[in-house]
Amino acid sequence: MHKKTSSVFFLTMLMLVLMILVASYLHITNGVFDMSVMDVIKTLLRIESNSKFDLVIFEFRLPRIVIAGLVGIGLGMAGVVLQGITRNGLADPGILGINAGAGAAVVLFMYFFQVKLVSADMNSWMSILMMPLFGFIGGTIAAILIFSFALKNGHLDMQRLILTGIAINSGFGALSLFLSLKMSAQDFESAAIWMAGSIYNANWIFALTMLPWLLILGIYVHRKSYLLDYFQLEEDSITSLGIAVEKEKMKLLLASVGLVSACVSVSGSIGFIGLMAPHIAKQLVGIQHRYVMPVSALIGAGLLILADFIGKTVFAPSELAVGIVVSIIGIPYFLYLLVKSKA
Amino acid sequence: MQTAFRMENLASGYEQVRVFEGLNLTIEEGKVTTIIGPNGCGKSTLLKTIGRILKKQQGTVYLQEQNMQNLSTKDIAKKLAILSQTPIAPGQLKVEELIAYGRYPHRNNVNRLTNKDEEMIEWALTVTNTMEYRNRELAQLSGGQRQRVWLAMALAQETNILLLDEPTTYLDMAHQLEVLDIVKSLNEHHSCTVVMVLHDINHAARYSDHLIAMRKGTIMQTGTPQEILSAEVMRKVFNIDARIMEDPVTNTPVCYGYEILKEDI
Repeated sequence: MHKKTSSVFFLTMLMLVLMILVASYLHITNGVFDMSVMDVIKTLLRIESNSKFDLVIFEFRLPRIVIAGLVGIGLGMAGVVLQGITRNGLADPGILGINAGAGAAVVLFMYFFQVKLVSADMNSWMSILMMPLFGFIGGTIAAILIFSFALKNGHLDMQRLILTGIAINSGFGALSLFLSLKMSAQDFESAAIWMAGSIYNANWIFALTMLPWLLILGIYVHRKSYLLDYFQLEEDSITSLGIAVEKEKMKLLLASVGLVSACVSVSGSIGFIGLMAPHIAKQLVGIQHRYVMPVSALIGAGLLILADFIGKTVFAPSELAVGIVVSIIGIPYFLYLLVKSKA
Repeated sequence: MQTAFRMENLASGYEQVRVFEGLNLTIEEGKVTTIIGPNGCGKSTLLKTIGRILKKQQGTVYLQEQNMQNLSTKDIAKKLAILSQTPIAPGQLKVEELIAYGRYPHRNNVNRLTNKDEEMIEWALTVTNTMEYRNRELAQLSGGQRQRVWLAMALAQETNILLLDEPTTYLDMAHQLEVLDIVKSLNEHHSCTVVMVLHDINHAARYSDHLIAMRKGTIMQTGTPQEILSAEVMRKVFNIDARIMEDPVTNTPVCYGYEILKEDI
């Protein structure tokens, strides 16, 4: 039995890597101007360098693919953790309100500091770094708020967690809206694009800032993924097996908050990846989380690279935010899951 | 005689509600002890508290003369297993996989089962008569089969003490006895200490060495089935006028009929 599952797992992983490569290939060769495969390979391998190709590949397309991949991995893993510990198959990183919290913080940043930063003529790296930093702080504040409301007598209640998540979500959403309505038209536009979830302004610094978070938390979550198998039992049985339920859930939840914050701070609010990827993964490799976790991560990466490619090309030359593309795919999938779970 | 559990001045309950307090009780090792009492008397609460599923509010519980507070939850899991009243698992989970979960407290490498693990799983499958559907998914099992599988998971935990919270609920008469027979044989052949909560006093009398009768959070009486299944104790505990005789086959007392007493409303 075990042999069969693990060979299915390796085959699935292989297919997903191929899918990611295909999506990346599409992404890197298409765009405002198309390049041939040979051009791309020559440029990547430094066989022939052409400053125009260099610029497009290394400064625009490659970082964008890398960011899409990293964000997809982070959201895919966080989704597995959240669905696992809440035992709710419809849970999504969005329910934690982290997206909304980060969004509000970034809007706040744009509202108060953007102008100042530009006029002070600060290092441009600085302002690039400031936005995700604010996003990260906002996400963490939202998470802390949700925790403190969901904790009761030192007990983390999953029902309360989801409900407070929804409340915090709409609270921060309202705050963002209120602030953005008071902005200048130009600021409003950039805030709206950021909130819709976009990675078109991706660069290597973003990738580097989120990489350590993703690496450390991703490995941690993967190592702990076996626990999620046990968390599918009800709490009394888990306790009986000698698992410190509260402590382990808290640690996993914090890790996924970190993952989501790192993603959101770079890409803005991208929903549904964290919902879809784990579901598709479970369809492919079953319910053992040590298989589901890496598969979901790769599905997240593949989906996001593909969605970004679609967003980039479908209405070219104007861009559709990747978050919107994901939602267009994600909403029907979500409804399908709802209908299926009713039956 | 060694004690499996000793409770001193124990209090427990849910959030603001105190279910019992000031409870002192000893449960002997190697015996089958059953807690009986009317709905809401605190029997399940007591079982959950000594099984550390529910946090006690006051007092001390000694597990084999060790203060449970000083034991890690994993160490406790090597000494006692609990089968909760309404266990839940995903329907796609295979019988064997669920039973393997029971090995958790003994496992160091979480991804590979050792020979000892496999051995214990085989044993649990044999004892509970679940061998033939080891590869089936839980969703495909009947209620009686599923209950035996859950019991097998608790057995795979390889503990000397087994706590069972109404293990026969929702089962038909034949399957109820099937589960209780397994429990009895575990106690007799594997010197397993069993503490359980049962609704059916006749089952309790037939399968237990000791009974604990509770009402409204206090222990009314403890003793052998013969001592507890008496008209007087039944009146005190359940508020019924019970007609009791001895079952000529099992030689245990049975309540074959009863009337509700009106006085105590």
